[in-house]
Amino acid sequence: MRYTRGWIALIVLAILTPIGILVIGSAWGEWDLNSVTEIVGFAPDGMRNAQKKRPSAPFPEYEFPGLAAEGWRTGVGTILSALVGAGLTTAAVLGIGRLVKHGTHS
Amino acid sequence: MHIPDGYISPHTSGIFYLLTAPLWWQSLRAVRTRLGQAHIPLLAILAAFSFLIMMFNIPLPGGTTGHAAGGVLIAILVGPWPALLAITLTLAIQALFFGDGGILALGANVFNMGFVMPLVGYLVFRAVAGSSEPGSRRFTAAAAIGAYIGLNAAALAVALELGLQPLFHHLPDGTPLYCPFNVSVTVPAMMIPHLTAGGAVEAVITGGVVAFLGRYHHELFSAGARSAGPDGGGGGA
Repeated sequence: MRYTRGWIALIVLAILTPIGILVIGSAWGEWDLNSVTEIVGFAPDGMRNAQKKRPSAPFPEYEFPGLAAEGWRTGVGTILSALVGAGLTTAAVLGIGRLVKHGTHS
Repeated sequence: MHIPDGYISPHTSGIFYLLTAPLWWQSLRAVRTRLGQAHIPLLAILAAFSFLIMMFNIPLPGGTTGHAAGGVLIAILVGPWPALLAITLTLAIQALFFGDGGILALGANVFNMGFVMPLVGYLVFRAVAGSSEPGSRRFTAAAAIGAYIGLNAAALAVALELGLQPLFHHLPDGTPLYCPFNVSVTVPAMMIPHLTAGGAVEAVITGGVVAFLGRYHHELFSAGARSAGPDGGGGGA
């Protein structure tokens, strides 16, 4: 298989992701409505509407369903989320790459 | 740096989908004509790498957190246009499956992290690297400097997109409808953390990976140069 070391590096990174999720706090400008209300004093109307309409994600905050509890399970969930996410990303690029390259000889 | 839905108006979001549509087209064309078949798995690995390193949050000055994005690294290896496709798919998966970054705001996020960051970073990298060889100190330094400037260019784009919202979208009494902060708040809030720790981390990761690959996998650097310029060097060979 091509790029064997690259694939291995990805799996190692995925296993290490719980370290990155441990960091407390959120990115500037990525708060949920409650935090916005705390920071600004109110939640802007447009923002409230848009966030209500947003379909919920299957793995919010990179937590894995059923493994979002406290403790070591959260870490396992994070690794599973990382593997699912990296897998989906890989599949998407390979799929579109294949479609786009279809009919070319290089 | 992932703008969530509701921070920019649907109007702004639409403008960014329109702005990025021709960029996606160009990206697909570059992958088709200038990237070899064998580079598709490399592009997939790089996209997954970007997905994973974005999960490593680091504390930033000012009490917020951030993460490296990898856009400049991808551009150095496969060129800025294929990088746009890789980052687009990464951001789409993050938005749809993990609730990270908006769905309406995806166009803007792609513009910032998939276009501004790789392109600016790549141009800086090329200018600094000159004709130096992968593995050389100058080549590695150029990658790190490109990553630092590319990330900060993207951070500035985010700051402006957020900071202009109150100007354009507010109730008659001035109450903001979307991002409530203007540029005098958003620019320092985004730039101080990214000019310091954020940029440093991006530079170290990009420089580190480029140094490692330059030493042990010299052959990987052929695709970036080929798929970058308008004439593309070796064409579709």
